[in-house]
Formats: sequence, structure tokens, C-alpha cells
Amino acid sequence: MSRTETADGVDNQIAMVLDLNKCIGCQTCTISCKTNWTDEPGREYMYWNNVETKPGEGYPRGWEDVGDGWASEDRTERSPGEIPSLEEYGRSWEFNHQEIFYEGSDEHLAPEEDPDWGPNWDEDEGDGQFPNSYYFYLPRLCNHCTHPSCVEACPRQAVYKRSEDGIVLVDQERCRGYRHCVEGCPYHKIYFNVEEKTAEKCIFCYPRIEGNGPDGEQHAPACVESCVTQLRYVGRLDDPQGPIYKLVEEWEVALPLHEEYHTGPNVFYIPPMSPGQHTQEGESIDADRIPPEYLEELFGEDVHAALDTLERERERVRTGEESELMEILTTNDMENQHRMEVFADD
Amino acid sequence: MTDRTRQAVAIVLGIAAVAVVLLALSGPAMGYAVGVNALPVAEMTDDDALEDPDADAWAEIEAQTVVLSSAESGLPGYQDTAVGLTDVETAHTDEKIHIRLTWDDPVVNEEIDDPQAYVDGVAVQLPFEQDKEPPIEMGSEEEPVNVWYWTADGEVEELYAGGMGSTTEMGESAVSTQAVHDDGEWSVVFTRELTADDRERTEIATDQRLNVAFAVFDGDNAERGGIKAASEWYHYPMDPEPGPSVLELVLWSVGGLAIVAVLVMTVYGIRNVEQ
Repeated sequence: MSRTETADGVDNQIAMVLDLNKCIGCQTCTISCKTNWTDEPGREYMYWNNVETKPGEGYPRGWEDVGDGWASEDRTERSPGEIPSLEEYGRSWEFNHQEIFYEGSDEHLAPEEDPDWGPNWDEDEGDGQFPNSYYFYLPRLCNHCTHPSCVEACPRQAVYKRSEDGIVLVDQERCRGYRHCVEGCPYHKIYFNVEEKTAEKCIFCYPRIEGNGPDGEQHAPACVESCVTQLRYVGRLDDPQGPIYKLVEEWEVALPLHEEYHTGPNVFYIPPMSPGQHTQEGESIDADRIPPEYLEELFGEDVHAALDTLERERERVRTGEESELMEILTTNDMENQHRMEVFADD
Repeated sequence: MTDRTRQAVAIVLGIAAVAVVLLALSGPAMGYAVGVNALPVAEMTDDDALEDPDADAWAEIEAQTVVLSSAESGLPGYQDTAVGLTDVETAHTDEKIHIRLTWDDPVVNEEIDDPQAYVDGVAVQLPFEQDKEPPIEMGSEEEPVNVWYWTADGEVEELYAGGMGSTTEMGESAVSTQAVHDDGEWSVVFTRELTADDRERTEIATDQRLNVAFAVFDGDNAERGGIKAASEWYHYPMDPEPGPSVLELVLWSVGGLAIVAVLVMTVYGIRNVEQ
């Protein structure tokens, strides 16, 4: 089945591609999402967008080992996981900013408690042995899947996929806080608000893409617009002129994360290329710093062909030839990078 | 037929006759006094602080143990529920009904302070039409239910449901609760006025059978929604006793005739033996 097939009942599926070759782990996307949506009571621990270091345990801790979405490709049975505790997400710490900045304290800036885990605790640790240790950054958000197991998990149909654009939302009136959706999402991208007693999640900034924000203009999601390296593409999944379709379907360089969950995610990743390995004496070894076998664990066996394509097209440009792929990946044309006209609310 | 044979026949028929008479007597008697899943309900003249689970008045009121088993929801982990029994005591005045439930739960779960935290709870389900028996899992569209739902974080909700997944909270709860946890046991009293002047609440008449079911949630065991220990339908047999049915009249007549017939045959048999 094609990765760009739109779900039944959805007019135009909105989708995203992230180029991991450009992520510098600055967390600007994370903070822009948080200041827009998750600095409300009960949402302190939530990062609807997070950036984790890979290899690493991620957020919540060890999420990849818990819950598998659908049990098999025919999607007749789910494989629910477990609900993480606040410790496994990483509590939001209280800091001593007030004392240091306004009250003249000499203390170091530090959390008031003595934590042993946080939402980005293993940042930059990675894996491998010097001089060939490796890591890269993986920004994650709700994939607004074509076959969302969170929607299926809710016995009250409180989680739904809306028909205009396939964005998956939680009806706050219908939700009674059972949290079957929280245990049902294999990516752990739906959260429970202990104050409101309802489930909450990334809304793909739908007021922004509809043009219903404070300035009445259409905007790409906050994480997309705020990205320092502009590594994110947004558009209609099956628009043949759009960057999503070209990167996923034509060039096949953009891949879903953990496709084996069978949820049909609509967020795709261009895998990170990496420099060659070398010995301690500085001699080159013919192997990539980021082992392709590791990337295969995340993105499936198509990652090898994707990396080859990227390398090949870069080489073409190096030798003075043209490459549509490299044009797309180095474009300054924001209108093409964020193709959202069809989603405006008119 | 020999004398001995006649004696034997007389004895056998005598025993048979006694058995028939006993059956005839016990049939209607069993139907009235010990109905399946009947619950005792006390009629009180005044309230006597019955809203309080620790009120003295409850000590005098008859309790009934209700068996609970995992509700059939098919949700992950639904078969693993913790509580097996709850004791039910019920009293009503002219104006209000009070239902007191107690059950064993050694660990108090009264705060949702973590994504993994669930609270203890208990629920009372009444059919919207008090003598109907809707599908036990939250009723159906044709036969909806009221659910009075208490949770240990102090919330009480009145819910209306017409089948699984349709539960909707009514505006303001007309049900009040008081709860106590003592010595490993929860005690909760639900109180509501008998009359309800609206289209969602069960009108409770105390001269009619009132069906009822119960469910207990152990927060420590992540029980919520469809994952709970629930009872079958029980009832308060408040309907007036009906007169004898046709079947009962027939049974009594047959029993009476059997007595007469056996007496006659016994006398005849004994006479023949004597001879």
C-alpha cells in the first residue's frame, strides 16, 4: 500500500516531512509548541513536540519498547502498551530563577528537586566508541496517522480524525479520562491532563493552518515556522506538485518512523547522512558513522536506498549537474515548502 | 395382589402423596419470599441521618451481599478486576431513597495526580423505566439507564446512558453521596429524591418493582469506564403481592385431590390387610 494513500473519509490529508540532516537539536520547535499550547495547568510535563537524541531512550523513557499500535498489517487487533508515569515522562522541574535573578542568591541555577530523569536526559549521549561515537536528533510529534490506533482505542469515540484535513483530535466534552488512547498510541504522543482529567495531544496547530489565529492569516504549524534550519515541509499528502508527495513517493527519500506499528503515520523523515568512520590514527574506514543497521531499526529497510539516493543527488550537484531533489531540500521558496492553501478556512 | 404387596403399595403411595402436597405448598411460597436477586429495602418514617454511612440507623437495616464479576467490555485488561462482593443496604422514606454500599478495598486511591493514577469508585445503575431490565452494559438506546457514579476524589456524577460508549453526564447531580473509608473497607451512601421531574431521571415509585445493578472500581487496579466489577440485575420487590395464579390454583387442587385419593387407598389397603 502506498505511503501517500489518504484515509477513507478525509478530503485532504495534511502531512509533514522532516529533514534530519538539518536538525541541530536547538529545541526551538519544542519551545514554540510549548508556549503556544502546553503551558497550561496539567500540561507542564507534556511536550506535544519533543526532540530526542538517537540512539537514546527518548520521551517518554523507553517508549519504543512499549506498545506496538496494531498487532499486524491487517489491523484487526491492537497491541496496546502501558501508560507511563510522570517519572518516565520526566517531571517538569521547579527552578531557582527567582532567587538567583531577583533576590541575589549565589546558588547555581538548578532544579529544586534532585531528579534522575528528565524529558531530554540522555541528550547528546548517543552510542558508539570514540572516535566513531554517533548520535543525531529526532524531532517527534503526533503523526496524525491514516489508521490511528488511538482512535480505535477509545470506547467512546472521543478521539477522532477530522475529515477536512485528517488531523486527529480529542473531543474534550466526550473524553472521560479513561486513557485507553494513551496506552494505545505506539508513539506515545497522546497525553493525560491530570487537572482537566482528559486526554490532550498535538492539534497540528489547526487554528493556524485554517487562518483562524489572532492575525487572521494562514500559518504553518508553530514548530514548522519557528524551525531555525527550516527542516520541515508541510503540505497535502497526495498533491503531486507538493514537496511531501515528491519526497515520499517520487524520490522515496522520506520515510515513516517505525512503519511496523502499521498506523500509517503522515509524518516522514529524511534519514541523516553521516561522515565516514576513522581509526584513532586518523585513517578512513569505509563505514558510516551512523550505522545503517541502526537507521533500519527506525525507518525500515528502505533507508538504505534513501541514503544512496541522497548521496547520489548530492554528488550530481557537486559535479555541477542539476538535481530536483537537492532543489527541494535547499529551497528558499517558503511557499513551496509550506504548501497549505487547500487547508485555509474560507 | 398379596397382603404384603398391598402394604408396600400403600406406603409408596403415601410417601408420593406427601411429596406432591409439599411441592404444591412450596411452589408459590418460594416465588414470594426468596426471589432470585431480590434485595431487602426498609421503609423508614424519617430520615434519621441515613445519608451518613456511619449513621446508627444503618445497623438495623438488613444487608444483602451482591456478587460482582468483570464487566464484559473487551477492553485491554477487562477480565482482571479486583473486587468480588459488595454489601447493599437500602432504605427509603416518603421522599428519598438511600442506598448504602460497602466493599473491601485496603488501598485508598482518591487522587488522580499522575497519568497512571485512577481513583476508587462505585456506581448504581437504574433503568430509566424502573421495572425494565435493559442490557446490563449501560442499557441500550431503546432501554436507557441512569447511573449514579461516586469516585473517591469526591466527585459524584449522574449519568445517562443508552448503551456502551454513550454515557453522558447530566447537568447538575441530583444525587448526593457521603463516603467513609475505615479498616480496609469503603462505605458509600447514595441519596436521591424519589421523584424526578425530568426526561432523563428515573422516576422511583415505591409500590413498583425497582431493578438495580452495581459496579465497583478499584483505582489501584486501573479500573475505570468499562473495566469494573459489576453485578447482574437485582431488584427491590416493592410491587404488591399478586393473587394466586391459575397454575397455583391447579397445583393446590391436584394436591388436595392427591391427599384425598391417598387417604382412601390407605384405608382400603389397611382394611384388606386386616382381613
